[in-house]
Amino acid sequence: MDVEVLGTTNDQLRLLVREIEPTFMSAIRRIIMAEVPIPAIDKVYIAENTGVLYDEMLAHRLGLIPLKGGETLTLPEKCSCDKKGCNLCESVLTLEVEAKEDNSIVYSGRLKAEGSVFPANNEIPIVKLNSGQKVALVAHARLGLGKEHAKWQPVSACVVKYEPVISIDSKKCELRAVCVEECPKKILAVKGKNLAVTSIWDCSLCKVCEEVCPNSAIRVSYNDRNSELIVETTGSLSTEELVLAACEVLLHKCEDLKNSIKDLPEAS
Amino acid sequence: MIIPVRCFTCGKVVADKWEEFKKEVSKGENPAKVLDSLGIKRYCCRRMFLSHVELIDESLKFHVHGKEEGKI
Ligand SMILES: [Zn+2]
Ligand SMILES: [Zn+2]
Repeated sequence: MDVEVLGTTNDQLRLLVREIEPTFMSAIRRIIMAEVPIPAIDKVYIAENTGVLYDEMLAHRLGLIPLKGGETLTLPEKCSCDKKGCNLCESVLTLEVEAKEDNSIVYSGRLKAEGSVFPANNEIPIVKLNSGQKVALVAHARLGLGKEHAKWQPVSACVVKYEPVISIDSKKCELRAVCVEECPKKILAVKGKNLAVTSIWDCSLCKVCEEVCPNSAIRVSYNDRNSELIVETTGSLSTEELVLAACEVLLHKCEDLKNSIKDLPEAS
Repeated sequence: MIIPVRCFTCGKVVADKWEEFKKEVSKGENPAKVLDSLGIKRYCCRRMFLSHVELIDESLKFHVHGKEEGKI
């Protein structure tokens, strides 16, 4: 196995992994999406809401705000409180606003963290209030898994893709550059007397170049031994943390399986 | 009503970028360019902006509170 970072930004990581089964990378992908625990607001106790959004809408919007922190929290399923919610598995945030002006926006930055969990993004509008309107609430955040509700899904896009392979037959190619023009990702270019691929990993395997080439000089295929993992986080965990956490979860699963097999009664 | 916190399809946070989008577009900037500069690449997220109507502004006009009551 050989890993290379193809590109990274604040919220996105492109990881190239060579010589590995694509199914394994897909397992990592699925665990990132569904089984890496992150915090999200789950219960909201509304004391006052005289704004125009209904309590339910307010609670729903609060739930979707990505939260950071909560490393010390336990999953409620594993907590001694039996999923009732206690200070070991829940973290409290409060919001108390009275608008001074008409049309004032209440941002997620106004959520006050009472525990270890706080908003990952302070610029999300929660509600708009007119002068004198009030919102006062207590929100309980807890850890959860993406398979339970999308608000606990730590990624927006999380994709595994095979390595695209573009083969150009230079004998047939007349350099008419129809494919250069038509390629939606603009990854083909004429360099000197040859048609060249500028950034192979941006290819979406759409095969438009194949279709438009009058000489059938270009062929698109893929190599499934190499794959690219694209992770785009919503802000709760960094992309690096996510990939590592997913590996950890997969390891635990294997460990569990190993132990259950060991505990089997001896076959007669 | 108010800009949804996340994209319905992929779950990317879009609400924090709405105000900038609205500001730039009302200045006459091309919406496609604004979305590109905001880093909104997928069309699921782009339609969240292009098809959104901030109805809460209309709703707020009918809500006056406390002392202001009766002005409208
Ligand atoms: Zn508990
Ligand atoms: Zn989207």
